[in-house]
Amino acid sequence: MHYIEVQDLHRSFTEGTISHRVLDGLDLSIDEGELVILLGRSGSGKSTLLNLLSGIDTPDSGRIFIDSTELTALKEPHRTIFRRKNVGFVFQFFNLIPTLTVMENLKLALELTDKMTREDLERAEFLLSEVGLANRADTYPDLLSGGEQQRVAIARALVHDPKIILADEPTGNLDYQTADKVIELLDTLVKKAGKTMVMATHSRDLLGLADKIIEFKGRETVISGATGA
Amino acid sequence: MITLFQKAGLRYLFTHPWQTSLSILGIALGVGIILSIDIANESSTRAFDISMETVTGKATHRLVAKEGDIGIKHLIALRNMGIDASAPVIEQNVRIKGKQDITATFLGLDPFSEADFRNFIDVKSRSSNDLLPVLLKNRDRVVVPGSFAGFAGLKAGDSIRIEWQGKESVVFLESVLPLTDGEKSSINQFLIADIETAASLFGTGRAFSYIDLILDERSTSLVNDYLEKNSEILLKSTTKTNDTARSMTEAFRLNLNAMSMLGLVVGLFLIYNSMTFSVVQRRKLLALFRSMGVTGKEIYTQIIAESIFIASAGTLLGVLGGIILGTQLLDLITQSINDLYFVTNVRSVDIPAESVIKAVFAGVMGTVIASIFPAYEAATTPPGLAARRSTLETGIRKRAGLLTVLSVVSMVTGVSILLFTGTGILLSYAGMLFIIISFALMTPFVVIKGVALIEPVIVKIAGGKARLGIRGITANLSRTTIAIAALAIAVSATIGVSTMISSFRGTVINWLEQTLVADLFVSAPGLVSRKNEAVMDRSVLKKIESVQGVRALDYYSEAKSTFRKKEVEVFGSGIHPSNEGRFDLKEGDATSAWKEIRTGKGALVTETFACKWGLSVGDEVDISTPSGNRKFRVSAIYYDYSSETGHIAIDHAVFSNIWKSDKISGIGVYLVEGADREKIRNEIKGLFPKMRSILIRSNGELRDYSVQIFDRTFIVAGMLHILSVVVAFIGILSAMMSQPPWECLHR
Amino acid sequence: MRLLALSLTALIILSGVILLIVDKSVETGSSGDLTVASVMAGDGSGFRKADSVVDISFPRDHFAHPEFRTEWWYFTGNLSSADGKRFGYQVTIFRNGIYPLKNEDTTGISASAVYSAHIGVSDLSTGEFHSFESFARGSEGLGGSDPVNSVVYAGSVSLKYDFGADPSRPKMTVLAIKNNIKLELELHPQKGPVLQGDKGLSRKSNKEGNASYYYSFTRLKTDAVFSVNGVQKQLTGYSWMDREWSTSALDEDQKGWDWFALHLDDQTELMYLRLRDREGNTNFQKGSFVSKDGSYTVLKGDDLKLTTLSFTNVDGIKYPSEWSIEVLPLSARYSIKTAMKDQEHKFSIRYYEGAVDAEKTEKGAKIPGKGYVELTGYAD
Repeated sequence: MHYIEVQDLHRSFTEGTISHRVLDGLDLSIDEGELVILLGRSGSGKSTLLNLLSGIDTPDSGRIFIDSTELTALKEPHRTIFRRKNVGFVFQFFNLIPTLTVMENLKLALELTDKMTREDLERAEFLLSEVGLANRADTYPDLLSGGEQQRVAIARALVHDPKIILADEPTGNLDYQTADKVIELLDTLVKKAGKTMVMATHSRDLLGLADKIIEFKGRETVISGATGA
Repeated sequence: MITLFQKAGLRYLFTHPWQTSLSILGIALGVGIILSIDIANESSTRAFDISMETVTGKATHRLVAKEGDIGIKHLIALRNMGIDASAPVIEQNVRIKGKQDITATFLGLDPFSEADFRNFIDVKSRSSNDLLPVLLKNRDRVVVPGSFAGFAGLKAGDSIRIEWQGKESVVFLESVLPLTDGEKSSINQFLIADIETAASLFGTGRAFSYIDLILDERSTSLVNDYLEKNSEILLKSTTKTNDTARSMTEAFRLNLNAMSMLGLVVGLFLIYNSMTFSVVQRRKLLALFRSMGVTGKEIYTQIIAESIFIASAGTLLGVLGGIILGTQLLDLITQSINDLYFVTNVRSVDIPAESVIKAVFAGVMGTVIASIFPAYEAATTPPGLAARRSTLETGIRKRAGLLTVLSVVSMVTGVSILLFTGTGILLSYAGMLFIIISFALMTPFVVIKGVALIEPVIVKIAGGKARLGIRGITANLSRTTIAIAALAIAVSATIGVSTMISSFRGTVINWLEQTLVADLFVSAPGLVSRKNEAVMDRSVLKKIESVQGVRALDYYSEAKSTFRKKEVEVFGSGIHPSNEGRFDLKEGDATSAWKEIRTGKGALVTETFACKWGLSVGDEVDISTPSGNRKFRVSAIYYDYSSETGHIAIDHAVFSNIWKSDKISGIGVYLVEGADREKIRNEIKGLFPKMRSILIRSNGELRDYSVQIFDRTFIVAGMLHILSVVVAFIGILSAMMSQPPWECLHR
Repeated sequence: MRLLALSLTALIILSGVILLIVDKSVETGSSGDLTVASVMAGDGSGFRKADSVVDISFPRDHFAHPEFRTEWWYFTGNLSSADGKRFGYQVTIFRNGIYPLKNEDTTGISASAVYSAHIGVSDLSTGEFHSFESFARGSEGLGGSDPVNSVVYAGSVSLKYDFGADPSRPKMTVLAIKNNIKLELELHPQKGPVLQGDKGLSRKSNKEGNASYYYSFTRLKTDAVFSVNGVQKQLTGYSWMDREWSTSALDEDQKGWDWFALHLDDQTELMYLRLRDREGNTNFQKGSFVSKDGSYTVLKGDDLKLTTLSFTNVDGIKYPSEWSIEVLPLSARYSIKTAMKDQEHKFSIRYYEGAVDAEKTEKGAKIPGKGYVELTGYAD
């Protein structure tokens, strides 16, 4: 079995009386260390897939396996616990707990997984300096710029050494230059470190990094290789 | 060790100081109100109990004459039977004259009988022994309890001017008694002297007000046997006497407690508000936590923990505030009790542990319970940014249906309780509670429908922009419903209480106006407004009648009697025929009723009396009199609020025949048209040169005085409902503060 | 979870703090225990003292002396029923003056003294001791001494004098009703009154001024009816009556006394009194011996010797229970033993008043007898 496996995934949303089918029988396999990009317009289902992969949401039908664990077979709160141990999430905005400092945000992720050894703390410090914000360890998020917040978010998503990283439009809110920096970090810390990552974006600039691209076009999903052909 | 997760939560509380403070304040107010009322109630009850115990002492029974004082021969008889635990007492209420007059109870005691009963002066204690020679040798020496000396500013050696039934005398304070434990919470307003001193002051000869007894089974039967041969005296059980007196104030205190509950309910509502708002505000944050993998249970616990923190802070504040407020309330309540029931005074606030525990429990448990639903809401926040506000709002809309159903159920329950249960106070309050809850639950439905109705009208008046504002109400239903409900409860409480008070007040004033028809009222001063203790001799009637300008007199006398084994008041009413019509009759025809009454066959009963005993016109009442039982037919029922339990009135001639009394308690004087009221008042006053403090009041004065007492009684209620309004106001304030743009201030 | 625990702990501490603030009033009783010394010693402000010999005359001196502070009419006796059941009894009427008066005003309810009664009945066959104390205001009907009607009373305990030809030897009737017991006594003096001490002035110490006026009827033939819960018993026997009045009888250093009144079967009587100091040693002693014919000898301190032979513990207090008294002028020795262990009154003053058995050894002959002992000041 592949590292991440999705089988016949269905998910629809009801708004008022209209039912909107977002995922219609999706099959997907992702290998360890792969960087998969989900491409498509807003509302096309990218976020939905990310939510399903992290266990935040449950599908109407279908199965999801992550490193042999059948995520869809888990009930709450086991799904939540699976997520906190094995998933790192980077959102488009509002990633950080505003009442905790930068370092505390990182430590929180560790705390939730009961991992607080010397090694883990060192990793936190390392990651923070990798994203270039070691000197802002005691700052509260509201004093950081958008880009700085995203960089911390990345560190936070990695600090507990999760199995997979999920990112939902990580550069969506950033200007060109800052976005570049963030992409660079993702490349170094995730791809080069051999971590499996699924990223949703509507920007085509990131395609160069991807091992697999899944394009959400209306009711279809097109899965293609790295070149997007 | 506090985890980061918990730290994050705590910091949230501290970074939103206004919200947090308002929550804490809400609880503090709720707890404070409950505690203060409890303290005031407990302290005054304790003071009353101690007063009663101090006077009653350890007596199990009291022997009294059916009329007047009980002669010494009965005490001698008891002693000869071997009943040594018997103590004669002469007790009279007197007024101590000074810059401010102080009422006090004068107790004439026999030190040689007292050891088993009270411990003021008794032969078994060393300190009393030193006083006895002086107290017994002289006829003008008194001692006072330490608390009273402090209160009245008396010290050994002082001469004290006392007034009793218009007569003035001087006594000398020989010594101040050492403070007892009971005096920590109440002031014992007594002047204590040897019984001979009291006898000579009050001219009682060889008779006493009562003889206290400590009886066991054997001696009780001995006394009962004795009573059979001596029908002019009767044996009362003191526990019953105390209970009766205490039950008088029960209704008063129950009402106070109910009022305090109102305060708590509004306070709890406020908590629910605050917790809900804080959850709603933190939705994004909670969703983030959930995304990071915090379980619903962990979030639930966190919210509850936060509520406990707020509860602790609020309760502590509330307890402190409640103690302070309780002290203030105590004065008010004591004054009311003094006005209405009996003389008592409270020295210091008694803070019973149970009251504090009760208040703490209510504050903490109430807060936690009020937080359960918001905590549940928080725990079930769907993770991720998919948690849109809109889903919350739609949720509430769906729930609006359920809430409306609950509202109807609650209303039906409440109304049924009120309709089908009797007049029990507790049940009535329960019924009201259900109705109030029903209205609160109805709010979402009303708001949704109401806005839908008003919207077109508002838009027509204020233009399309107004739509934004109106829609804002339904868009933010989660906040607005609560704010609206809180405001509704506050307003309804205000209107409700005001209506009750003013309506009752109106009825009382009405009644006063109808009753106080005479131009002048003559009475000998009674020191406690309910008990008309002082009386005038019958001969005054003729004297007053002969004053020029006096057209007619109404007068009455009082006696105590027994009806269906309970003590009741009987009035002998001498109503001038021209005044018969002034009675406001609820049932019965005036002309035939009065005819019957004058023959001695009939009686008037008050509305409260009839209600209590389930009587209507035509029923028979069988009351005890000095010459045996006597039956009267209920000729009519009339409105009268001069006593809680109501009374029976019979013709005065019939009354004096039965009770063989020449004493008059009150006289209403009717003047001819155009008479000079002041001149006549002075003339009447001049008829009583010796009784310097005979009271002659005009009907206007009396009315004002009665209304004053009424207002004093209801001050407490008024105060409480103002406090409830304040709590509600705070609730609304906190609700408003979490609307945009205030929301931004929190960041 | 930890936050929850922390909050709960905070709450508990909070409650604790609040409870500390709360005022807890503890009921304490106030006691004012009296001691023998406090009642019998002291300056007696305003009262007359027994400091000189007076002419004791009857019937006048049967009744109260309101110029003096303390007075009593004291009856003790040993009685038995026809079926041999033995009883000891004590009935005392006390008068304690609050302020001195020349004459007692017995009208109205004013009072200058308190009349109290002590009753003790020892049922020697069952070991039961009935003990009662009552107080009565010294005003008409409640308590007083009434020479007009020849009665002295304190509530339901009364003493009526029946003066025949000789006012110094009246027949007396005593009635005592308390709770469930009733004691009716008819007493006939077999001998004339014995004036103790110096013509009735009985010193209690070597110091001047501490004395009482004291006379006794040493042998009263007694017929009695004793009822308990209505069950009556007819009893007969002999009683002893003491009459005393004084103002300050004890010295400051005298703690109490031992007093004996014995009836011997040879129709003689002995009175012995000793006062003890604070160490328990004899500070002063005296007595009197009454012969069969009624003549009597006043015994002084040197004439007597008391030896306490054993002690018993009665409810925590150590009381002597066996004695030997040597009367030197008579060459007689009296052996005395309490007839029942618990005969202690636990009133505002605790004292022992109980029946005793006695035996006189005189010139080799042993003569049995009975009597009463009073032991005061042991419980202070």
